[in-house]
Amino acid sequence: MTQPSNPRLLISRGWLQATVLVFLFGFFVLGLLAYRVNVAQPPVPERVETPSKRVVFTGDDVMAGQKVFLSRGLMQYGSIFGHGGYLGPDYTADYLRRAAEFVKAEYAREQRSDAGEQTAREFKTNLYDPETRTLTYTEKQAAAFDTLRSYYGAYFSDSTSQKGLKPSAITDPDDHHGLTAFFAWSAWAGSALRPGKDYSYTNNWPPEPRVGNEPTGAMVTWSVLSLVALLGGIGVLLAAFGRWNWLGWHGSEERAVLFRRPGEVALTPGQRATAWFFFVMAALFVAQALLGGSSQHYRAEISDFFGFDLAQLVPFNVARTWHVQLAIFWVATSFLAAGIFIAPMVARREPRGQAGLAYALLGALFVVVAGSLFGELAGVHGWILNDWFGHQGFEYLDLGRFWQVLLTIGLVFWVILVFRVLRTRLRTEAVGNMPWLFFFSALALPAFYAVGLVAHQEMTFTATEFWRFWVVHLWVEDFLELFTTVMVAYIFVLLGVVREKVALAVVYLDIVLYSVGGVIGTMHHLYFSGAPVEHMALGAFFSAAEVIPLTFLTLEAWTFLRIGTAQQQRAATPFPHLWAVMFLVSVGFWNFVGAGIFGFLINLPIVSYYEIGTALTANHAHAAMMGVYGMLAVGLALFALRYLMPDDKWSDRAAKISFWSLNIGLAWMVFATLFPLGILQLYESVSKGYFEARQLQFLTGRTVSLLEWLRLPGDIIFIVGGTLPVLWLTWRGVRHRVPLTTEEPQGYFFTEGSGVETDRP
Amino acid sequence: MSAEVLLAGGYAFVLVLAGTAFERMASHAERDAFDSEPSGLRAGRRTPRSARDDPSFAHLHAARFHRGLALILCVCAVYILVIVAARHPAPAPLAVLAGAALLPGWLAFRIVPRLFGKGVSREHAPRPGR
Repeated sequence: MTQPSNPRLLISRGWLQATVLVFLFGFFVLGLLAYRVNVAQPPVPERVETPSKRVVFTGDDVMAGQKVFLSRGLMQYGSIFGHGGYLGPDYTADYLRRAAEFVKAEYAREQRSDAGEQTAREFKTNLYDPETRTLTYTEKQAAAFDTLRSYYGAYFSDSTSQKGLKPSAITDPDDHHGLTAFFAWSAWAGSALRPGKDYSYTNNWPPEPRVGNEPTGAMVTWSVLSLVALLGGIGVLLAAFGRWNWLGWHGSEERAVLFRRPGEVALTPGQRATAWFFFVMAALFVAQALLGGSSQHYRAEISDFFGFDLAQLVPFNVARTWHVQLAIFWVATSFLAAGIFIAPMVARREPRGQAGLAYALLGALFVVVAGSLFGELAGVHGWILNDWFGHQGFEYLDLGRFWQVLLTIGLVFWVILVFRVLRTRLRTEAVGNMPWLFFFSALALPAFYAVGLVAHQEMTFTATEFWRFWVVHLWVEDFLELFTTVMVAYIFVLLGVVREKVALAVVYLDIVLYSVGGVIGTMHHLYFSGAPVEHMALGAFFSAAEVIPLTFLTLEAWTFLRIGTAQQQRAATPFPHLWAVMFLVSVGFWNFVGAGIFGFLINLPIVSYYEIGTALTANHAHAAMMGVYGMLAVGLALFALRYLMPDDKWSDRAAKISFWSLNIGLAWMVFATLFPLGILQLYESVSKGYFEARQLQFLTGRTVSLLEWLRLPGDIIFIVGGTLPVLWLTWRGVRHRVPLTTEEPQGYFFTEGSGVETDRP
Repeated sequence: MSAEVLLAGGYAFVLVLAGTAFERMASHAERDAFDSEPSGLRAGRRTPRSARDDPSFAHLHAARFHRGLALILCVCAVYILVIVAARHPAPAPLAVLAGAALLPGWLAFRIVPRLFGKGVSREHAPRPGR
């Protein structure tokens, strides 16, 4: 078999240089911001005492409380600095409001006519002494702390499941003291003025007039500038690309292709092994959707799951932890499988033993999933309070550190699997051509997932949030996006419908555009978490630029698809991937609506100020995560399954039902519940207060409850019609795999004649 | 008049606006497919742009996708209005909600024949893969 080789770069070196430059610039700035967050985060005082030197709580208490908060899965119930779950309150805002009300009432009792002003002044005044690392509380603030310690003690000891937590969730008085200290520290960071500034460590978040917290000048200014960046950027980019056709794909593709029928495409042992990956993916998807339904039910009917008290067994924070963790697991499983499936097509060979190694990887993945999910359950129930094997507690990085390390090793192992297939092809290719991009984008997955290990429970919450979003944002929105772009582009190349040179230009454009906006744009998650103001300024400005590639690439993806399908029309044989392509069409739609419109909706600092941690965040998360990565994962599975099973075992009908049900279910979820609920909650936050908008009294109100119930039909369609057919199809893929071909792999390609034809410059 | 009734009516209007936008996207995709059709298929109508733009099943299926979502928004709007009507069975709220339901009803009336009728979407769908 002829090994293709391209010792020269297929496109202009300018693309490569621009990519490297933008990439390095983005990470240089991110490095500076890492330094800044380290030196300018709100300090954790060694002790907090009254003027009479009574110690109210210590820094150790704060860190112990943070550990309890994380290890018991409370970040998946409520939030700190607006980050976390949405059923419980935001404990920063909650403590601040209750403490302010207490202090104000004390002043009122003293007949002070300026009780309100004095209260705000007291909370705004920063009495932290960096020399002695001591924070001084007024006597009234200290009394408020004592009162709130009792309040939170009763709150977490509640013997019922009326709040969605397990009954008597946390009963140890030391834990109550620590939790209250942690909440108090976050409330202090949220209200006390940053030294030399006229706003708090958190840019005056949460909104709370009782302590003088109002939007800052920087917040409004950077909101306006980010709008300018968005509109100007889209205009410039569309004008430039419309005028000059840099990508070169607006020309014609004249080749005709002959698609091999499924069953005629010989598969390697490693590729056949992916059938099990896709089955596991589908099983995890079903479980994730069911858990999503159960955590949603808590919002509609908090202590009654169709006659059963679910919180006794699977409290809300367990259901939500599993829901978000499985979202990453099932999508990642599909991407790993797709990588293993595509690699032999790229290399035109597969070394011996690949299947065995792939099964070993799948087994390890199963161990990580099962072990980490059990650890999270054990953490919430208090059986394991160790962050290595229990609940590490960071939303989306909930798995214990042991499992996190194992998963990282698993991803490295997967890169090795891909590399051993690609090795000989890479030798003959210029660094920068598609095979290298495929390898580099795969390598980036373990590299940037591993950054999450920097965050640990002994760091301050501000610092952990900085590093957590390297995974939640940078890993997901940049490197998963990059890997999938490379893979989808490669699939089109392998199908013979787009030339490698064109695909290469798209991938480079993707890297440049996402690196410009996405890397520094990571900071849009850190407006109010205690990072200095430059994080908000750069985050707002650059993340607005993130919408530009979303818009642009959606349009270009359409052109990509158009050229591809025009090719398919000329093909002499039927195109076997209608539903895989339709999933890609839906990815384009949800990318624009979910990530673009709903993402930008909450991206402006002034909107985020009132909205963070409400249903509008959930609205964006569901439309973007399921709409883009979920649909893509299913599309990749269908693409591979088409070859993994004999033609007569395939069901277009099942794929069609799944496609429509997943899209209808997601649209219903978003438009019937999450979006209108988010708007109502935003209105409540602005008109009455953020504190009110996050209380259970609001969430269980008459209109909100109605909205929560409204999504039930959509959820049923999603789960029954959407996930189950995928499970059925993947099961058929396992049961009826095409036989192994031991002959020379003439048919390793999807098309005849031009399947993996390459271009020369 | 309850705020819930007014909000439901207003939101139904927003959904119809979004649905109209999706329907326009669907029409646009379908028009692209027509424009790119070989002349032999539709003599007397628009002239094809070039031979490379053969009728694209992706356009037609994408049109169905966007049109399907537009219909879902209409169903969502009517569903919300009906549920709210059940909670506010007085004449005035019912009148407001019925009036609001006319909009999604009108849009659905336009969409359904195009989505489920024997339109071009079916005639020019690609041969199935099996």
